[in-house]
Amino acid sequence: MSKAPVVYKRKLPGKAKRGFGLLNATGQRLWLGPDHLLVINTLYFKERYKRFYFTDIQALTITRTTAGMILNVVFAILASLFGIWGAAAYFTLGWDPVAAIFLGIIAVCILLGLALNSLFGPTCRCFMYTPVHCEELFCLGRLWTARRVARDLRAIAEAAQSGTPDPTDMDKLANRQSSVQRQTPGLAAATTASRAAQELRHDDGKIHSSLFYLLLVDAVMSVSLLLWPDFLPAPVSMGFVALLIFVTVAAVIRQKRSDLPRNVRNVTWTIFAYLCLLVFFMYIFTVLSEFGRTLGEDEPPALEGLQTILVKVINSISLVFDLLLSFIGLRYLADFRRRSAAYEEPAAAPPEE
Amino acid sequence: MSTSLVKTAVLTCGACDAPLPPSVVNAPSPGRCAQCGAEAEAAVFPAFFREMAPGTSGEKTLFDDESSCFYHPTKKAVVPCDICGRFLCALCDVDMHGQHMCPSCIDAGKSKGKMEQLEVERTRWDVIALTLAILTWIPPMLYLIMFTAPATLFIVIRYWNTSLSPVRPNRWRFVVAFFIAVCQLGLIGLLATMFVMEVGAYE
Repeated sequence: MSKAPVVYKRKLPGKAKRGFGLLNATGQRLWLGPDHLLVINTLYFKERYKRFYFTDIQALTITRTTAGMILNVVFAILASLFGIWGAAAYFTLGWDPVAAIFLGIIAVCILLGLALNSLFGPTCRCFMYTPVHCEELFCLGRLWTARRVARDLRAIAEAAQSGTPDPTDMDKLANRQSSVQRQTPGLAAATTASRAAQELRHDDGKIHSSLFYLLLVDAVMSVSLLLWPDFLPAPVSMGFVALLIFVTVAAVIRQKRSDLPRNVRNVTWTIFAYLCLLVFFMYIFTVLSEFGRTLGEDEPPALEGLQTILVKVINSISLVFDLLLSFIGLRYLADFRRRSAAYEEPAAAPPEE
Repeated sequence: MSTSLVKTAVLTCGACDAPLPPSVVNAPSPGRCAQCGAEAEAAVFPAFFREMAPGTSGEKTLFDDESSCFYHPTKKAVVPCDICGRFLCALCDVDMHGQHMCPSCIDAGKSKGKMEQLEVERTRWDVIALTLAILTWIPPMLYLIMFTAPATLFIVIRYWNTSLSPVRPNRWRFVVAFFIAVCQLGLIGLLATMFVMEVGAYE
């Protein structure tokens, strides 16, 4: 029964982890076997294997996404905020240079992230079609890598399936794609195709809209705190952040297996990441405050200056991200609701007698 | 090759799930999704147009002297199992790369890990051993060495012969973890000896 082990001689490019490898450290790699493509999904210390025989691979699709660009914008905003406050602290406000250097180092680190992200190229999503399902190859998250792998796989699959598709077959496929597009008018097409493909629960996005409006309230609070630092007592603002986290977690749970579009779900995850960042900064601020309090009269002016700058940085970040994410989220949600309404309309009409 | 398009699935945009326009399929340059405007491209292979073979349920035996399936006595045997020799009907016959096998042999091969093609999961004991060995060099974890070093040695010895990853199946992680664990145990021994000597000198 035992056969000689399959030798995998070539690793295809592309190695990525979902969720930045923090919460759900699922990694993926692709290896070429003699007659199949081995997809290895790694979760901590376990490897799960999926084998796709070259004769069964039907199609590969690559769609460019804006995730990389959004990440670059986020990096740029963060770097400029830290840079501006650092420069302001040193040149204009005349604070201790230690605080400015600290902020400058953070800004440079973020700029390094921006440079690396730009160097890796634009992002994309890659799907592989088989006769029975469609597999996302999330390790091919960069467009250039995905194109390189698609080119290699295309040559191998076509060799295994002896040739290229017939022109008549291609015409039929083109007709089919066109007819599916025509079947449902306008924006409803996406929803229809999506619902038909997967059995998803309908979600009207109430929790998500609450979250986006709460972010707008948070933006107003951030403006107030920037202008009048003693406007709100610390427990109130911390309580509000706790409420935001609670609603975000509820939205993340709610959107699972729902028909909410991917862009709304991505915005919710971005809010979650942003809140984690905010909590991290608040933690640093608390540690610095406590440290300063233990020093009492001996607290160095640099530490005091750093705390003041950190408050302003946190509020500036809050303001920018709150406005950006809430407007983007509300816009995507409005699109989704309009699309859902267009989809539901024919069903709501009374049946003809 | 069949020219009929039997499948119901359509190629969809990865960003918005809308059907992709025909212009992006096997096109020399990427096109745009008609719905969301995202840049998209699709490569379609001949398998996309291939009809799936219909499943077989096994033919019933007509005469008493006909060979029947070991698992389904009322079904006609069509092939013997290449492993155990049992007669199999079309329903029980599993073609594994030209080898005809019965479900129980496949099950046995899978549970014993002898059929790599059926293996879907492996635990990377070599990675666990190396992580355990390295993790304790981080200052807050340093005091755990007395537990982790023996644990690392146990994992290395116990799982040395287990199947590693099917790709790059080498044992360098085990070797490195073993040496680190031995060094850690040596360090513990040295510290214990120094402590005993110090106490002896004090007394």
